[in-house]
Amino acid sequence: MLISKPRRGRDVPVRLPAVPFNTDDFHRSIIDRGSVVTCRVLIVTNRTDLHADIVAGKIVAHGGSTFRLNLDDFPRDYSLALDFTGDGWVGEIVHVPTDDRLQLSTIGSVWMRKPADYAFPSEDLALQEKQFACAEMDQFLIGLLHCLDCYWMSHPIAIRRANWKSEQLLRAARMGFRVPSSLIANRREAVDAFRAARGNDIVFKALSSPSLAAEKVAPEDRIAHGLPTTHITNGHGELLDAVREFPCFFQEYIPKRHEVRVTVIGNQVFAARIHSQDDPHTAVDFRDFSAEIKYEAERLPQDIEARCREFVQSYRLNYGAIDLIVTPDDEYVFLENNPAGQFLFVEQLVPELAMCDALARELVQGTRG
Amino acid sequence: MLIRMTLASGWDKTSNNEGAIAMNTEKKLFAFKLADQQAKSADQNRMWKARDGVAMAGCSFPTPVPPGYQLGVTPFQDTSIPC
Repeated sequence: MLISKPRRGRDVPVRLPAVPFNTDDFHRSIIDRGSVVTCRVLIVTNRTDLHADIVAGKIVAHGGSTFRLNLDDFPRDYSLALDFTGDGWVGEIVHVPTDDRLQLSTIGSVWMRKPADYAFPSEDLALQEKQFACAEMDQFLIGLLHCLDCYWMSHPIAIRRANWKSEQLLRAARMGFRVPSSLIANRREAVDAFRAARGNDIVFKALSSPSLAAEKVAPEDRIAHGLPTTHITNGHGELLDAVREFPCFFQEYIPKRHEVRVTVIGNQVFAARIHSQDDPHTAVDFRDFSAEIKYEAERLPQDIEARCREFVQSYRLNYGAIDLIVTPDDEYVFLENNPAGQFLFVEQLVPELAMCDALARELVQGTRG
Repeated sequence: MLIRMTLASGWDKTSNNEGAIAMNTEKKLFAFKLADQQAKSADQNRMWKARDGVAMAGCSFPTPVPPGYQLGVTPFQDTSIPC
């Protein structure tokens, strides 16, 4: 079985009302002005999100309805007026160009996809004005989202909680995964000792993002576009003095037979085997897509599959993209979990892993409780 | 005035344009020094390249969409660093 489903169906709903909330009389289809209103899926993302384009189409195909909040058009292209009534916020958000109207009370699911910088009607705000406007937007938007009692893919609190790689390693180890021995240090001698103790076989990886924050600066200010996980060799000796700037993350290099990308959507687990060792360009970091290595559906051992699901759900996430190594001895080694990671590239290379459809179904099901 | 810009594509340009604005691009951080070293290697020309028909959008900046982009109609491949 390539795609596993829970034995007891959707019996582990992960909902995170941010405030105490009586859900006894809460319904996913509500009565509004005498007619039944179908709850909608709110997609929070940016306007160039191909994942969201595709999944939105599938949500509609499954009978759902979407409202897309593109943060890089927000609040410029949206109008809203929300009232606090004592037991919640009411009102609507309107996407002005299309006149699509979202009543807050009809939000049944939220898909937190990707962040973006806000856009304001005035493009020439003074720097301090813009800083203030963004801080106010964060207060408004994140606060509002936290007031929603609905299905989340996944809740911002859960995403935030799950985002720290060093904590992930500890959690994964406690759950029975092998994890690479790791070092965080700003002392050159500690890095040298760590490397020597591991036969000079270690890698460096960015803890925050391989983009090296390129997306956070203007194109003309970019001095690097990114850095994959990198094998540290003797040739890097002089560079290692630079770890003094801030603590850097190193791991032992784990020999691989292949790698596995495990995507957990609700209770479903999708696993893709990545033949990263078939090409030297993907041997250390499989994300060099210029090497057309093979991807295929993977049948995970039952305990590994269950552990991946449990790992993601331990954060109360409804989504996670886990990277595993499989060693030549068939051991599964945990590398990291991406709580809002990508999945479309996997599905495009392994179409039988129908994750877009699964995600759409999950979000639509979420609106129906 | 020396301007040195290094891109992941391997494009490495040095200019003496007197009219240009100076930018401090001497890398201080280990990750940036590593990236710089990789950018100077021939293999770096390959890194972060897209694979035909595969969307990569992820940890880096969004790919600008073509004008009038319509899903399934306008050719478009989002390219960046997946995570």
